[in-house]
Amino acid sequence: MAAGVLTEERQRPGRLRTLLSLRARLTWRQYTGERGRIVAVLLILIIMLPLTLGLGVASAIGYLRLPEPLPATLLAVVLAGLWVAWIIIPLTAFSLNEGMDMTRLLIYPLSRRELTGAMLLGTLFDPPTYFMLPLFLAIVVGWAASPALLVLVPALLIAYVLMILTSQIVITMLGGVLTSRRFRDVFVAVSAILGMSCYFIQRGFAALISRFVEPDEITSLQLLPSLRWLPPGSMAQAIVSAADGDWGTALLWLGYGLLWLLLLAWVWWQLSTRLITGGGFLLKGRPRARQEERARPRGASRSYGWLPADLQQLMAKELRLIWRTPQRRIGFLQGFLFPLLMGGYALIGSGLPQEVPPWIGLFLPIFALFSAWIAGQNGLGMEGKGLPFVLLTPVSRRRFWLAKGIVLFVLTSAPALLVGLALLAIQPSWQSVAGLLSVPGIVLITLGISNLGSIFFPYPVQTEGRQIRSNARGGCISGLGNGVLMPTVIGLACLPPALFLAGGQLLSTPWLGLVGGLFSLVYGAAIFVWPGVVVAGRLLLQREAELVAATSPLQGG
Amino acid sequence: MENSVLSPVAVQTINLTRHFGDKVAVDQLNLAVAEGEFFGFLGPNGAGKSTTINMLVGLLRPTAGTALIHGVDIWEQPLQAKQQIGVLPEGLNLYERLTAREFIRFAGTMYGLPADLVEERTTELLQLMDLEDDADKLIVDYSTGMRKKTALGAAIIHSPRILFLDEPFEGIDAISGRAIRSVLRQLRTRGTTIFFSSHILEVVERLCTRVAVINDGRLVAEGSMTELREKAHAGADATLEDLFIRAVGASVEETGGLSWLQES
Repeated sequence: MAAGVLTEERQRPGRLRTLLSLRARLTWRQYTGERGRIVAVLLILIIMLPLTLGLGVASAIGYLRLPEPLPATLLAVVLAGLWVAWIIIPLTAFSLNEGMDMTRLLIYPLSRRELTGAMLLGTLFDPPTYFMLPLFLAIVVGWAASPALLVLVPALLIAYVLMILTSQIVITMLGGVLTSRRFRDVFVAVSAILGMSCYFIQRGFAALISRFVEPDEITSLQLLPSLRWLPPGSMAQAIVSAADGDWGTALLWLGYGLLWLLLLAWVWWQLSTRLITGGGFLLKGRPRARQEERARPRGASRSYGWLPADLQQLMAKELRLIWRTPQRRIGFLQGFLFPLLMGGYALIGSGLPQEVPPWIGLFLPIFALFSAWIAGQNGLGMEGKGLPFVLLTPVSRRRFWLAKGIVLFVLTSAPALLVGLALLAIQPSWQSVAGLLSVPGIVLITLGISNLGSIFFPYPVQTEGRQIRSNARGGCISGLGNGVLMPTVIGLACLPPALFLAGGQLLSTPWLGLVGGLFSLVYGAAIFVWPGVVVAGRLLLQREAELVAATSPLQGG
Repeated sequence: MENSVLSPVAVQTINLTRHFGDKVAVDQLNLAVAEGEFFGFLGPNGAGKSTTINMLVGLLRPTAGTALIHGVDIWEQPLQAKQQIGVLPEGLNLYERLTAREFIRFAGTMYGLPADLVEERTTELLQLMDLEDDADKLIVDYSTGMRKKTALGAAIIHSPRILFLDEPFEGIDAISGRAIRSVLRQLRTRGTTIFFSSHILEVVERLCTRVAVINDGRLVAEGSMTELREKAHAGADATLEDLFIRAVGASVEETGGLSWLQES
């Protein structure tokens, strides 16, 4: 009886609809779950929509107006580019969109046909599908006027299915890796570094093209003979051959594309079967036991006898959290990398050393201020889930702030000091010396005041995702406090040393600037110690319960 | 479960109250836990158990009332009170990017233990909790049981006089459960007061010397098993589950069950 009911239920046609509706709902909630994400989606739409529409219009004009053989090259590049995009995009969105994870459906009595249908049709709910629509429409517009029309529709359909199949193979094969923490960490690091250095990558790419391709050759560039061997590239060749009236060759290439389709469908089927029958993903990521073994030595921690043990442990904790939270690690590495990249590029590109104005050294403290301001914000929220644990212990709250301050001081002042030393080496000037002397003081001022900001304007953050995500619970006051009030207070607190430096420059009195540099050191240390450690320590002790509630959710029960 | 001889009070609440907006999570709770007791703190979901524990350990400020740890008001002298307690909170507040070894070592230092003792106890705790092989993996990659054992290690490394445990057996396997029970028995033997909240009533019945039941933020029953049976006019064979259900005034039968599972 029960088996009969089950069989009957298995054949109910509404299940595919339910699966598709689930996929649509999960995709939608992926973007609407948090207020911050809606803003991100709107920004993406504002940027991506005109971009894809523009690309669509430009490629359509290209197909119609460019001289031979460029339309064929463009077609091959567009289809191959879309194919690559379909491979990459699921990699970046997999952990965000639960709908892509087929393993979650395996506990239900779903047939393979239902799962397959849900996965393929589910791509209709993926935004990338619609971002590529203008490019597909442009192909129709650009090639429909030619005799290729008959081949165009099947070729584009085959190309689309090839793209989906390839992306599904990637997901089915790498699902275990994509959901792993290790992949997420690497992804965060790679995307941050790529994001930061895209300007330099673009310059390098342009240099490579100009080196290997002569301007005359661009007009006769033929990429189709190479790209046509790729799955969607073959469809470009079929369309181009049909447009030339070479129907035999066009059909041959369509057949070649169909062969690719069958092959990829077979591979995907095998991988899905393995997944559905409990074999798991093909690649699962490194076994957990091995993940940390290589990097992390056992045994006693290193001891620095001249520092109190609790201060050492708090500093070690701070350093480890920064280094092991990829978003924070990258943030600090960027502080070091950015001046290095800029300096390297300037040195190689334009012989900048001779052109460095001496007053540039006075901007060193500003660079340091920004680094320290970003690093010192929301110090309690950045403790994540661990904050209540520290507050459960009787450790001195002053030591807590002191340890945090020492670590952040070293990490945020070091890049500015390195730049300052480089400036001094390139072109010695009193401004560079004064700027260099002011850096530690300015960093101490900023960190000291940021500690107070962390107490007055805390907000919870999640460091387990791909970005450090703040929670809307932080609220408007917290946003205003951190975004407006704290920078203003920091700016005002930095005014005295800034006046010394500005006075030295404007009145052409180097000694004033140099005294300002030394003054900022003493003044910064005082601000760091008094409000930043002593007062912040006292306030922390008084407000622990409220701060725990503000930075990490407590569950009642 | 046995009736303990009353000793000096280790944990005391006086009219402890907590409001969340209009909701009264804990309502004028008066408790006294004697030193060395293994005290079970029970209640249905949402009864106010975790809220009470969070107020007792200084993580949630009471709306009214007092929470005393060995006579020290935790809200007046938090550091003195915290020196005496260890906490295994429900939410397991761990630094996920530290390893278990680093975390337990960190905890020991935060409680002011000398470095050599921290090392010695960390190694011993990792062995006892069967975490040695995974001690150098990040906590973020741990299972629930491993996290719980790590948190317990961090909570007891300084030999606290009072140990607060919020659902220590939730989500862990039998082997880990046995390891934790064994540690708790050892602590009890050496006189540690244990304030223990759990849904697993068999464990509470087996381990605790005295029990309090809270429902809707109010204390509805308190005493040893014998006392609870007497108050409930229950027979000698009444289990803690029977007494608990009677105390909170609910029974599965009362709900009527699921309509489609009832025989016609």
